[in-house]
Amino acid sequence: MGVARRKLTIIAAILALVVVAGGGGAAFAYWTAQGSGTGSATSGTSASFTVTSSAPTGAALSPGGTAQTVAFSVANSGSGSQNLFSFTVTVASAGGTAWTAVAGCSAADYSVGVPTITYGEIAGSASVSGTVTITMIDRAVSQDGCKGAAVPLYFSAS
Amino acid sequence: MQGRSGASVLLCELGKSELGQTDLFASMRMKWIRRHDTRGAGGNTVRSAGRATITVTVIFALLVTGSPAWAYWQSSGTGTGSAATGTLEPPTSVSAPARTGGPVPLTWVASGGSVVPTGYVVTRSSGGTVAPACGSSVQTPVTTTSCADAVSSDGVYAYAVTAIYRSWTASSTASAAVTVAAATLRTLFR
Repeated sequence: MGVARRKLTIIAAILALVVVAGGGGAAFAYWTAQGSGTGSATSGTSASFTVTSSAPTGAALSPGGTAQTVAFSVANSGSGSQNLFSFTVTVASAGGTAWTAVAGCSAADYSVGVPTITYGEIAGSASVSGTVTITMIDRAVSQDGCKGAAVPLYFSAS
Repeated sequence: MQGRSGASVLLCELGKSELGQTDLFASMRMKWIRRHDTRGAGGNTVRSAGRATITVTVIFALLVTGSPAWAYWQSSGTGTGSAATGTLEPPTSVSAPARTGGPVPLTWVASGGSVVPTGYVVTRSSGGTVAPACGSSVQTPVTTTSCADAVSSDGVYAYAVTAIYRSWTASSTASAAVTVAAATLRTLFR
């Protein structure tokens, strides 16, 4: 291929690129004018996760005894995808405050396992489910205050 | 909104149509390099070829290694739940008959419920003084529901039985008062 032909090829390619980049189309004539107007667009917004749980399964907790399992669900109440990258479960009152309702018993008497859940994007109006286990620690002090106690769990998703 | 950093972000910024133009641009540069190489050009051509090579390599690397761009909303939420703690039931019906001489035979009904005690500690009380009975203690509890308490002093006693399960305890109500005449026993054996 000669030099002239290569030049021609390059020029043609550049012209094609310019036409494509510029949204090329058929030639036409038109009047020009100016004007203004208003409009609006709204962007979406995130919606809080909705966390629900089921009644625990397994034998009631006892010092050093077997675990109870609590199933939970994290729902995306929004219409767009939302990312779930963290989920924690603690023994705490609503709002995440320290549990002090039962004399002689506290969160220190229990151990919460690592929640089992699949992290990542949750599509709009979809949900993911998981489980978490709770055990009662057998401490070297009297734990009689914990007998029969309902242990509050606080779920936090983000 | 958040997006991934690195290659995917760059890809996102470029957009698909721009990537197509970049490919064309790289192709044109390669043709230009080949052309000048055949003419035996000097150092400028070598440097240009080097830049072109780097450019093509970077674009290729982005195309190969770049993951799809994606975006999502960030959110949070909370919820509540609960777990249930069991309990240790106390033994019941502690019985201690009046006794004249010899150990006092005690019986009781075992703790109910799902938590089974590992043993029982028996105590004898008189006038506000509480003492271990049946030789039991937390370390050596009675593992049955009966025992015989050897009393060394005459008196009126009440017995109580405490169930033991790890860090849990559960005490029965005291038995009815029982009169024990331990001295009579010693007299009989003299």
